[in-house]
Amino acid sequence: MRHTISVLVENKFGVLTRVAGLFSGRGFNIDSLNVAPTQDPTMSRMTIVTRGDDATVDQIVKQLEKLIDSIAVTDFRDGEYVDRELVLVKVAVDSTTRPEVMQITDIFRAKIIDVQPASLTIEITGSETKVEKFIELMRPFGIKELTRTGKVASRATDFRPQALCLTRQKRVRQHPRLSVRAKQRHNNTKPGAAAHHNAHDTTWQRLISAAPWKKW
Amino acid sequence: MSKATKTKSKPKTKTAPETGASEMSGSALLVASLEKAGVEYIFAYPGGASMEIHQALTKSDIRVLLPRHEQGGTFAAEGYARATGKAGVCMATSGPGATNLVTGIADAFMDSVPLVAITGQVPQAMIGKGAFQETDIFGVTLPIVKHSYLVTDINEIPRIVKEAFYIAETGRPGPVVIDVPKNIQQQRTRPSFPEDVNLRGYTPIYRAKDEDLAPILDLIAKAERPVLYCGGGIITSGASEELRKFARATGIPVTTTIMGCGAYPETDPLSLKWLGMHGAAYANWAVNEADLLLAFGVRFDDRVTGKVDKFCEHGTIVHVDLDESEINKNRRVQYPIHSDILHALKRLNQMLAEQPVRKKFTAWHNQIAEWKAKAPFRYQVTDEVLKSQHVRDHMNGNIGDVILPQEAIALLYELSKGEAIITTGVGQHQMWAGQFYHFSEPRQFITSAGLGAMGFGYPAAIGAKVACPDREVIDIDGDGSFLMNIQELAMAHIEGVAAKALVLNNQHLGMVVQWEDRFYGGTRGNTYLGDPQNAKQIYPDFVAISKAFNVKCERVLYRRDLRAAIQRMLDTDEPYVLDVITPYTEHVLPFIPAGRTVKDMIY
Repeated sequence: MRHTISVLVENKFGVLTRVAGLFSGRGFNIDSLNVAPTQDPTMSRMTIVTRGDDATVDQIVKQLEKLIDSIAVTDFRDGEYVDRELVLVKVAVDSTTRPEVMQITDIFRAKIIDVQPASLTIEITGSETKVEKFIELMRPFGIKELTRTGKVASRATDFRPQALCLTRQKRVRQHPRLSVRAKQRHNNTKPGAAAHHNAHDTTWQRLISAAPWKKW
Repeated sequence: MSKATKTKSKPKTKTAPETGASEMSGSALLVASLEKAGVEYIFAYPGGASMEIHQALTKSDIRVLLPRHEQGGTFAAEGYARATGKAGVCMATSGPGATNLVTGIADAFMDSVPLVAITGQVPQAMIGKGAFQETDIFGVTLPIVKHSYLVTDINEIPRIVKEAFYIAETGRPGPVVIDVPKNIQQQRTRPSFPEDVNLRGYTPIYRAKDEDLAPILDLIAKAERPVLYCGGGIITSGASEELRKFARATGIPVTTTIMGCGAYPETDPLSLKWLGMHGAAYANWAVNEADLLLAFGVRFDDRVTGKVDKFCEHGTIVHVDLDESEINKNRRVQYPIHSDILHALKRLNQMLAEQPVRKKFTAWHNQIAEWKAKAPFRYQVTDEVLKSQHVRDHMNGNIGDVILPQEAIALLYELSKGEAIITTGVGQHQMWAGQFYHFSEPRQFITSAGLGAMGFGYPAAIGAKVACPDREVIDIDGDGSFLMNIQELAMAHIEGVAAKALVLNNQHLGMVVQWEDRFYGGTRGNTYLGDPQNAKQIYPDFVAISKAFNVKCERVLYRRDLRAAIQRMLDTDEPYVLDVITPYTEHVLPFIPAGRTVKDMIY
């Protein structure tokens, strides 16, 4: 399964290697990785896209949390985050194909940022599906070069109760705010399972279906 | 009296000037920071990139013990840490010095031992240039450290050292590496020491809520065949006392991992000793049959579980651990609880005081007693022993004179009254040490469990003896393991540390031989450690080697001499090697082959 993991880390040297090492040490490839400082220059946010069975990714997430230099780790599930990617694509054109390429660029609200006699460099930003679709359409013209930033992701809402977040903020380690009994009613989890990651998961899935904001 | 037994004055608290005081060098600042961290001993081998720090140490009260190989230094620091719970400190120079620390760091990582490893580094301007004795030790050790630092600013030294000890010793302990470039050691600054540690990404302790712990008592009340499965977490968190209270209040039998040996007194009727591949048959049966397994401070290591899905297959498992990443890592459990085990046991004991468990589990205890009688740890002179080369070459027909390794350990247990701190190498002797020495208190059994690093025993014994000068510290070792760090006889002699070694010398790499016998038709693949040209001679000659190091050594070949020889070793108050010659034909039993289940146990 594909996972989008967001890690808030100390903006220090060596942190990227520590994070990447947790993946490489388990033979996992990172599909894309993006790192840049946040609004607080002492912290950076990494967005990592990887594939792997859930148990192993869950283990990696827990190991990420253990890193002294990681501050918060979120393993995003579908629907709870927005993501964008920026792509620069250099497409081969001649006088006959140029208008068509420009037209498609227009439809996708992409931008032409450089024009050469035999090529156009186009900047496109968007969700993964949009970007993929655009690249697919450009392929027949001949893609001379392609550079992607990798996905950056952000939580979709900021009013979701903490109990439903999968972020396990290390300093304020959260547990479902629901009482143990309430949780038992909800998902028939045994009380001791409160600390278990998947307990969050099932609780979340169960509650999200009834969540009022979903209708908004 | 050995030098180590003399009480040392506390390090000067005022060596390091406070803010606004005069300038000092980076190396002096590092040493002052170590003093502030309460360091009393450091196991360090100098070299070009660390000699500045050694120079600063000459002006400090911190005692430097000189190992003869950096690996011996790390193992000694680990021995110190495992015996006390305080971080052990070792230091080496850049390049080869630093890489020689790697095995010890990996060992500390696997067994959660607090260790601070300091390495010299080439000057910053030379880093990345392939300079003489340059290794990126920060990079090399990344996957085997709890945390690491490369110092790039002299003024950060006090903060880094303070953080390093905090990280190494708190939470689930582990090794921390500090790499200090030589130019930083030589720079000068006006030091300022931080008051607190501020690490926003690190929360060492988590305590479970009562509502998460309370179901454990309900589960006990419902159980018929409960077992406590306890590990090194109990010892690390200092929860042994609470565990004793808990076991006695509930009447639940206790088995430990090899890291947990001593967490519960093995002489207690409720003790099942330790479990796993070479653990007690009755412990393995009990866990297999248990309907409730209370896994406290353990990590479901493969040497414990065998085939992990079949481990306590039909029981309900409660797993309490401080490290959340251990939960559901190797074994999915029904009741995972993320908590410091000391807190959990304290709360459980308080709850038990209000609401005692009425159950007696009589049928279960009877069953366990039956198993204990059926398959205790035992040894006997087998046909293989009688037919062995050892008996033919050395016994002159006196079969009764052959010394079985198990018997030597049982005798050591008897003569040391079970009070010695035992360290081990890795292999058959390590398993037998666990089986035939009974540990009654935490930190009494010091062994390289997770990494299984041969050569661990003797330097670790030196470290433990330094930490506990008033205790008897004995390394039960094998001839292969002992030879791997035999140069540390020099550290023991020169530093006057009365660490002793009981070497069970079978001239073979015994554990591998055992596997060869069981699974490879007895074909020896480089597992004979003696001299093939002269098999009758014991090789190497540990008596002669020890003599060269000015360390007393005695060789025992016959059973009739063993008791007196062990007594002589115990009566000595200086380093001592007892070379006990044993047959190589003995196998460690019980034995659950790797990846198999308790049904396949040979006992």
